[in-house]
Amino acid sequence: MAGEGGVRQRKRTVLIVEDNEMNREILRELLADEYDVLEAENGLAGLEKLVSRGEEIALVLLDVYMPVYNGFEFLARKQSDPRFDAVPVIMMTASGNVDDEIRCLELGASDFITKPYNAEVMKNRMRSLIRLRESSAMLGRLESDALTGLNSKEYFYHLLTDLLRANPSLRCDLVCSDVENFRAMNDRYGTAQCDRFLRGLANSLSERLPGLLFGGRIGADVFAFLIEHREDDWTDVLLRENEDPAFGRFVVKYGVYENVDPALSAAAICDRATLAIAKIKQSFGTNVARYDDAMRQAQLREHQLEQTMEAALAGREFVVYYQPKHDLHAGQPGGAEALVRWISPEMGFVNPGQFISLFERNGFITNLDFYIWEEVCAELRRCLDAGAPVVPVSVNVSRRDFEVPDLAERVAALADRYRLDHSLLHIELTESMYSDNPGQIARTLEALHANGFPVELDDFGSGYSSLTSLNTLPLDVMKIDMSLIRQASATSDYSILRFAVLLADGMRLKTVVEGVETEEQVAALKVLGCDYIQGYYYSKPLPAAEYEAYLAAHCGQEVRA
Amino acid sequence: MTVQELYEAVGGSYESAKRVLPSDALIGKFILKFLNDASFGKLEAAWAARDAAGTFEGAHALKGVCANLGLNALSAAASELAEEFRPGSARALEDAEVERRMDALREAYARTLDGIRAFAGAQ
Repeated sequence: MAGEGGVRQRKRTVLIVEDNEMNREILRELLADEYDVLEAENGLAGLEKLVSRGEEIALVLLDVYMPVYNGFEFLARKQSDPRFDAVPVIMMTASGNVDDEIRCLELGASDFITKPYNAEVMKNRMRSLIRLRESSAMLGRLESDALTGLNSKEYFYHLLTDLLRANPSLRCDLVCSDVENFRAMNDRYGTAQCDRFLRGLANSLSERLPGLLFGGRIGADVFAFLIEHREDDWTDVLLRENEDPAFGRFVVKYGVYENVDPALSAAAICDRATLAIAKIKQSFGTNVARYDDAMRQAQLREHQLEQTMEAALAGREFVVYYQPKHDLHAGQPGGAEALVRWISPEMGFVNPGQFISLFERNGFITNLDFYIWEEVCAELRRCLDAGAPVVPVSVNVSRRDFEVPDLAERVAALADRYRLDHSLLHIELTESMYSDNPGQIARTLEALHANGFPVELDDFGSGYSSLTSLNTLPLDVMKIDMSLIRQASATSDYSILRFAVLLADGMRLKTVVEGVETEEQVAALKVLGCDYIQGYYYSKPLPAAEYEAYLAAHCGQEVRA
Repeated sequence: MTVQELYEAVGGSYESAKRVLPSDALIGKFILKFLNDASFGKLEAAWAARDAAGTFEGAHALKGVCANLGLNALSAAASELAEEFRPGSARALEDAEVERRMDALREAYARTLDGIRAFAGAQ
């Protein structure tokens, strides 16, 4: 285990909050050999230090009477923030005033020392207070994971943080392991067998990993190990064992984050290794991945997007574009899909591929979707009021939107607020999401459908197609994925497309084919009996003003009211 | 002039100082810094403005610094003034009496500074 031998114990950090410079200097002089000393010249500056460096501060020495915030105000504010519960405060008082002392104790101070300082008394009180806090903090943590014998996640993080703080120049790598399809193994073989398997894997990795410092179980089937950094490629030791007496062959994916940055939090360090694993999940034959600069850039980018997304939404940087759908029977526009664009003054045009999946993960997609729906409703209302032509607009819903319990009611209320016929707002659902929580999604879609909102199934044929969803969801429209049209025209073989259109016909669903780019494709789709076409052949996605102009130029006299 | 002789000259307690600062070198270092300590100036300015809160803070700060340096007579005089102006408690002395005590404090402070300057010159 690390922490022994060449790895030294870190000095603890104390914060001195005292307005008199001379007293601060004396304290620093007395404490510098045993502690790293931070200083603040009043209560406010002290609180700022507590916020910025709070994690490392083991104890605060606090003067009572100071300008800006005095000691009482410092204590009151510290007490109201649970992050600082574990940081003890010793008051330094010259007054010997009992009322002051009682008030400080009520506000959470742990002890007193009086001026003149007695160096030995003061240091002893500090030591025992720090020891008490640290041991009681540790009591609250389970150090070891009962199943695998590795450290618990909390304790692993604690060891990692401590080690890196005391040895910032230590070169070490973090290795995470993740068992592929563990949930399926659990279902198939039962918990007892899987527990035995995890225990075996933890032991075996602990033995095989070179230069192991310590390991922890940070998820159900996710382990993390800190090892000394090595220049050679040692990773084949990870791949040696892949047979289990009960399970036969199994697959474990490994992520390696080399030369751990000591400035990062333990959680962020583990995230980097698990991010590398995420890149090779479900990719056969690749079982080890390293966190690399491209991943770091992507993470920084995501961080930047997360920092700015709320202001961007408030600042109307998200703009709705409309891509017209052409009605092959009527020979004119018959609908449109609302697509979001993020146009940032600082970052320029942000690729939806970057921010949509991020917002789906962090949940912000729901805020964005509601915003888009409202923008679309407002646009429709504006056109209707102006007597301009209007076609139904389909809007995307994310799987996260279905976590909103009264989604159907809220969408209906929105459409009603803009006095829109519900048939003008189509709900577009990605097929792959259906597997997540089929019951909840089906119920919400039923409610939307019953409220008169047509439902479209997006991306049919793009990958995880399950014909079950066609049968169990209240659908009106099937959108056939652009990959099918590309493949059909590349091979001049339209048989899969023909099948898809036949299937939709049989289920009385309208069909939309996306990604149509050439005249040949249009002609072939007409022959197949397709209903709508969406693609660059007719128009790219357009900003509202251009979209209105497009409709005005291409819609006949029949205008929907 | 030794540190001990300085303390005898200004009426301080070398023993007290030694409890805070473990060596003569440290005591000497910090006693010189007392020449630049702002506490007394703050007390003077606040009292001149008849600013009760400021007078308390200045006196209280001077009391603490002097206590740490073993300047016990000064510390005690500052302490009396601090108690007179402690926030939340009623004044007990007339302004004229406070002024008399300030005079005594000024004299003791000046004598202490003179002693320290003499000590500094002898280093």
